[in-house]
Amino acid sequence: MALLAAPLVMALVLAWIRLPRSVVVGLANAAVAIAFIGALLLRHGDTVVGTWLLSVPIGFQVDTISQTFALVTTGVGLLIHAYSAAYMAHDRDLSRYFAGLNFFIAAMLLLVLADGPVLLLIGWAGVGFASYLLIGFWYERPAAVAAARKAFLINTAGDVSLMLAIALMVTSTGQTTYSGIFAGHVPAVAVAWLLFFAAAAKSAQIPLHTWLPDAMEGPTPVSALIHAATMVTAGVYLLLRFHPVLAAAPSAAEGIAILGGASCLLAGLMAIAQRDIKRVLAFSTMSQVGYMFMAAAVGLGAAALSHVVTHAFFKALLFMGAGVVMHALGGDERDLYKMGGLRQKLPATSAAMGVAALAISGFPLMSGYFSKDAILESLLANGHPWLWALGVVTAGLTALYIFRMYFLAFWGKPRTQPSHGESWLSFRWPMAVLALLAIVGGVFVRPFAWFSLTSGATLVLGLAGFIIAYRLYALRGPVGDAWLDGEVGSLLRSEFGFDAIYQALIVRPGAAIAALIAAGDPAATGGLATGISRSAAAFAEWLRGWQSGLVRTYALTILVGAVLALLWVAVR
Amino acid sequence: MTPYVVLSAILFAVGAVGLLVRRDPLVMIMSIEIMWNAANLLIVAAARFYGTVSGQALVFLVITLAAADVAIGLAIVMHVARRGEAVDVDALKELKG
Repeated sequence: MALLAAPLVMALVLAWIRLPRSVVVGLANAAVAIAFIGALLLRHGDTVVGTWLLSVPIGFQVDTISQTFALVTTGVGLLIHAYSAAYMAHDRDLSRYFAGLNFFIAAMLLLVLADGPVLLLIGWAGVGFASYLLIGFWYERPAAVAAARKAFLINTAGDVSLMLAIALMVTSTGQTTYSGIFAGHVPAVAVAWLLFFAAAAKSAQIPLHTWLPDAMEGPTPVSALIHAATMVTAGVYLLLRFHPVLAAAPSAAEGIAILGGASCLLAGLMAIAQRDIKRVLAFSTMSQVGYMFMAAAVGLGAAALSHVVTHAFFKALLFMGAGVVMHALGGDERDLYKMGGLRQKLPATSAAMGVAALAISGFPLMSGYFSKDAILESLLANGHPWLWALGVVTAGLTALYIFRMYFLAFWGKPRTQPSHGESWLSFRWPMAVLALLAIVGGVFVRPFAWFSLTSGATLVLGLAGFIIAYRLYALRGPVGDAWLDGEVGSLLRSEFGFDAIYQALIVRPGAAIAALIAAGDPAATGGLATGISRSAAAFAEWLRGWQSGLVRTYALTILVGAVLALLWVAVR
Repeated sequence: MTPYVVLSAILFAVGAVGLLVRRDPLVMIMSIEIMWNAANLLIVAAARFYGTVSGQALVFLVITLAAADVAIGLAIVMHVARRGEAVDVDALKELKG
């Protein structure tokens, strides 16, 4: 299990030992490279390592799903590490950064390679913790700390849900391995919904998606890692892994697929109205993961898995491109309205982003074309026309929002002059590799019909989205957003009010209860505690009066006591 | 038997009263000795009355204990006297709570 140990050990080393900066970068990259090679060499099968406390056997399981996830995590993770070396080169906490990154990879590998839900839960919680560390990496920024806390709290809600699901499965079957649990009988509907809430928290699906856009406060390579290689795909993994449970509860699976479709569509709509380049990408991820959820929930595992892979390629590329743009504009400029015309100064980045945009919007023969259409076609073929329709409409929205972002950032007149260009080599080669993969990544996808009703529909809607984006934004820039000033636009800009609803329903009542407790606590608990201590002190004060220091008083007391004791014995 | 019990009670009362009313530690130690011996007298009388020897054995134990008691008590009194303080138990009350 060298692939698991390398990043984990390196995370511990980097967290506790102070090393020169170049050594830190080299070691962190080497650890992920080792993990990647290990993932390539994985043989399918089970390895039981030993028995854990409470006699839970711990072991690892390798099959197509876990190997695919392990390869994506380490492969894309390696490219992100290489990119980070340049992106974070001037950060003073380089070691802490790479420790977090390596830990993230290790936790994700544990999650996907576990052979039972107990070990999976450890990886699951580790991924949540790693995301907390990295989203809040720049801890001097209040927004980053708040975002990290929000992500952690929502993820913890998911963790609780997963724990309940595991408890139900383990108690109803008495088994702690996947094969044992799936052989037994579990309360499928309850478990399926609990699993969905866990997956929704991790994968930022409605109704637990609100942490994802805020998580953009973290360093950009971290966003790439969360969105492409690790965190958000963990929810898809959960649905794929527990597919037998979902299959046993068709109504729950259908409901989960509908919620996934809702995330897919609504996130596509929300992405259109964002000004922050990274928030566009965040909602885009949510939308694409919605596709995966639809497919995974109704049992189309192969299609979902292929979209996980291709999405990792182009989404990592999009984030890396956004990182270069932010870097060129002086560090942390994320406002699309202040960009524009960047393709002259950043030609390679512009080309890479263009490739990624084409791939995500499903341009024919790019990777996204194959995987997205694989999902949609199997949805249609398996009798889910409504989900298919949602997906096709979202395909059009995808082209619209991604090219809106692309044109606003790279076309039109420059609204801010870049302070420096895309000079660093290590920015470029990971992006070049990913661009190549985003183009040809379709080879990993199970072959399907090259042309069909689905691909025709997505092509037409995608072209429509592209043309609208071109007409509105390519030349006119932010003026093209004028149509968003109406009521529809404000609804989109408020992101359908999810945050406001949660604020009103959960955060404010919670804060009110906390305030009430804070006010009542000194009186109640504090009063009890001080009351006990005061009465003890008073008793001691009374008692010390007896110790007068006068020997003759003591003698008299003893005498009286003895006489009284004798009298009592005599009377009795 | 009865005269021994009465004598023992009288001796014990004398000792107790002496302990309570006198302030001189030497006299108080002597009063305690009288109380020890009141108890001894009662024990040997009872042993004799019941025809056993265990009471006499117990008295030997009490005598040694009384000797130890006197030794420690006198040592304390000597120390107090050497410090040049008044040898008066009512004045010696630094150990109050």
